[in-house]
Amino acid sequence: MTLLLPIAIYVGLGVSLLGCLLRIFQYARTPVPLVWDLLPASGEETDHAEHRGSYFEETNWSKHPHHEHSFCEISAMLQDIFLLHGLWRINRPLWQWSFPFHAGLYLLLAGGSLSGLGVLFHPYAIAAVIFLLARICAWAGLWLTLFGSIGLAWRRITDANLRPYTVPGDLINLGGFALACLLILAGSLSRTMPPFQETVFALLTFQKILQLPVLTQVGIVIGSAMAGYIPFTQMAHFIAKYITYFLERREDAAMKATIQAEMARNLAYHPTWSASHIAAEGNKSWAEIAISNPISAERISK
Amino acid sequence: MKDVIRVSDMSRRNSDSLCTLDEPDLKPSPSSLGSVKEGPALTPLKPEVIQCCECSLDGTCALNIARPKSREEEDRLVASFLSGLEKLFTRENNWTFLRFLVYTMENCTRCQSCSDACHIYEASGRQEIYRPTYRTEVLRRLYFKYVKHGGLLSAWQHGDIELNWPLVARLAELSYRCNLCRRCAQVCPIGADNGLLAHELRKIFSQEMGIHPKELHDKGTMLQLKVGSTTGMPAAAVKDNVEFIDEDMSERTGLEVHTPWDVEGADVLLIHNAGEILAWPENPGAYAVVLNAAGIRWTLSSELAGYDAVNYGLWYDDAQFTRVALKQLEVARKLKVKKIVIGECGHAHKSLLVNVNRIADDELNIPRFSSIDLLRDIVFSGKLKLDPSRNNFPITLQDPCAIVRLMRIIEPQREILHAIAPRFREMTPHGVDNYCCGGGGGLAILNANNFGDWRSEVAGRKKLDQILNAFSDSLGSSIPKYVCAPCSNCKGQIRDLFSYWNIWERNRILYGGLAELVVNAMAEVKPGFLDWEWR
Repeated sequence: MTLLLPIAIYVGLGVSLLGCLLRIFQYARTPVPLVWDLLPASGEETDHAEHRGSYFEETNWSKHPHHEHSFCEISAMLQDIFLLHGLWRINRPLWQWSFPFHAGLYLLLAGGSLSGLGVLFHPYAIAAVIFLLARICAWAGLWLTLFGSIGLAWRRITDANLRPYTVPGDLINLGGFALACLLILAGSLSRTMPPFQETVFALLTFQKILQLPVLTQVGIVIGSAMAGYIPFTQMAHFIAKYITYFLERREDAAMKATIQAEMARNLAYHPTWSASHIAAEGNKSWAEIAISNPISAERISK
Repeated sequence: MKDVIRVSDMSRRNSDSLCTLDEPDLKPSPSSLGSVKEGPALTPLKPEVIQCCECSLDGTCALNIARPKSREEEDRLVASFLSGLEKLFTRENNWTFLRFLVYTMENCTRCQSCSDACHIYEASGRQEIYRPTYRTEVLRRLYFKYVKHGGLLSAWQHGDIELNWPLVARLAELSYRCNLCRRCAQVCPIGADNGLLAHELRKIFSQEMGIHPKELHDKGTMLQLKVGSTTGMPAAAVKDNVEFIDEDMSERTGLEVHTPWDVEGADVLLIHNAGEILAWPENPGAYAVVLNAAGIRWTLSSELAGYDAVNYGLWYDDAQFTRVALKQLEVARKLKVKKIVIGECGHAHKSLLVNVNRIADDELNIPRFSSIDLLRDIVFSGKLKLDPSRNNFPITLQDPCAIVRLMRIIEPQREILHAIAPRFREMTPHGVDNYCCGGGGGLAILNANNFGDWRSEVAGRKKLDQILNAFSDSLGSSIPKYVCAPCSNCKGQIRDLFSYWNIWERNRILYGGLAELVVNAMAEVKPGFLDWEWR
């Protein structure tokens, strides 16, 4: 094994992290929108939560504080993220492939994180336990991701609902994961595969040169490339989901000082829409358009 | 067997409809309606309409877009669409919804979980073009190709599409084959909102190209901003009509009914959908009876837009939406009322209670709440003596999407019905999982050509099924039945749906609002307030 492998891993993870940050930044800097939410927070602490109602069921709702991010809501969010509860409820046939795929990725992430932790704690006895857990996570993660990605690709090809909306990119994405997992697993079955802890040390610390099976090496390179590629595709929906599902949708209608400032900025924008009734004329702000009456600008057709 | 319609077919250069709706292909109609029709589900479009308008989507035509007379004109229109598409993704032009739009554009995994949630897709017999992801897939491909300027790699990753006039014309029509009920968004496992994308598409056509249904724009928001109401009634006419309603109510209830106008400092400014005053006058009349009996200091307003809670801008145009909403709030500010109460109108609830919130400054942010909540408070306050036995007939409840799914006002109307209607039963499913009546998103008032047929055959089919199932124990014409629909658009759609399928004659099912049932149960009101006549 040359230094190329650890470099590939760190570059892959670095690009992935950077891509995720860029994506978060891209969404965060979109202007504060009008409220268009499906209300309310699933865990809203009101008397209405039981029947999925909202504070709009009260005549004096505007006087009551609304609790956000309650325990129930976080619990619902975690169930959705880790168990794909939403998909379980509405699309069970897809869930049976999507869940192992996502669970596999989470386990790989956990395995990688535990490996890093193990390296940090290697002088202590606890490191052995950490590496054992990391190994379990990595193994389970590889198998589940392999199983899930093949299943999802199979469904995309064979399901009459999915096939017309499947583009080559979808299959290549899933194929990339499947191939990386398959190669790493195949290589690790080889007699020449060094012990897990030694391998992790070599891959993460640049301190040792180990001879890994070629299949594993190729698998690691592909896996690293996939990690770096994720944030630039729709596979980054985990970022969007957090923002749309768990932040924006949970935002209640109450005006806040920050939102007011943002709104003032929004209303100062000068739109360039061309339809005559907008009467934007290139020099009017949204605020001016909102308080104008377009009747003078367009004849009413009877 | 019919050909599978692909996303790329939207660009097909011929004037044949992309899909045809034949009755046997649609979701089977409820068995109680008898045998299935053969042949086309919709009345064929007139030859002159086909000749002069763009009707190449599905055999109906809501917009009547004139056919371009030359290739140059086509190119100009396509360029205009492209310009609108680019503007849609800029903060200056679309700060209002850019965040959700970009999320959905870039993150939908096309898992199709939303398809089964869509009543239009299901009722159409799963016609591909009505799949919630079909129109958004067209938009997504255009976005990556023309807004993000993706090349070959992007086409490989997101799919390719050819932009031409047939595609633009079909897309315009397709944006009005969605009720914006957002049942699809509710079930999306990643939080994508395909309902929103239909709304955003409509905005390109309206705000950039000036293409919108006449009923929503010329006879809708523009008329409201001109004379005060989408009904075309100026203030004097509304006052006359309400005076007549007061007289009628006094006669029917035996109580002195008087509607106060423009009372400065009133506790409650009630804003009805003005369509009620013309089409279902017993609803505003019932509110007058209830509010007076409860001793509430309330008023109506005769100011421009102050007597019509309607805001069609919500469905197709942000500028029109903000203009109307701000005018309505301004009326309340001038009158110095303590609260605004929105009458039984779904989209008006959403517009005035939710969507306008962030653009209304402190002065305009007058407390606002639902008339349904107010009715519930009054019913349980003990101020009215109620006799539930007067409502002893089967009643089911239509859940307006805006009020129930989107705002989650679910229980107050049920608490009322449980208290005053001994034979109340739910539809299946109901509450937040309800199905749209088929008139949501402005479709209830679109009537160009044979569009009414489409609403009854496709958009409303699922609702009809639900209603008939809810009354399965009492079908036939011997027992009167009532669909309580606390929303003007739902009522309009249910009226058209029942007329189309002859439901009143066959099954004696009436529809109406919630306040009417409360008044019908009031012990001090003369018995028989509800008028069992078809209207």
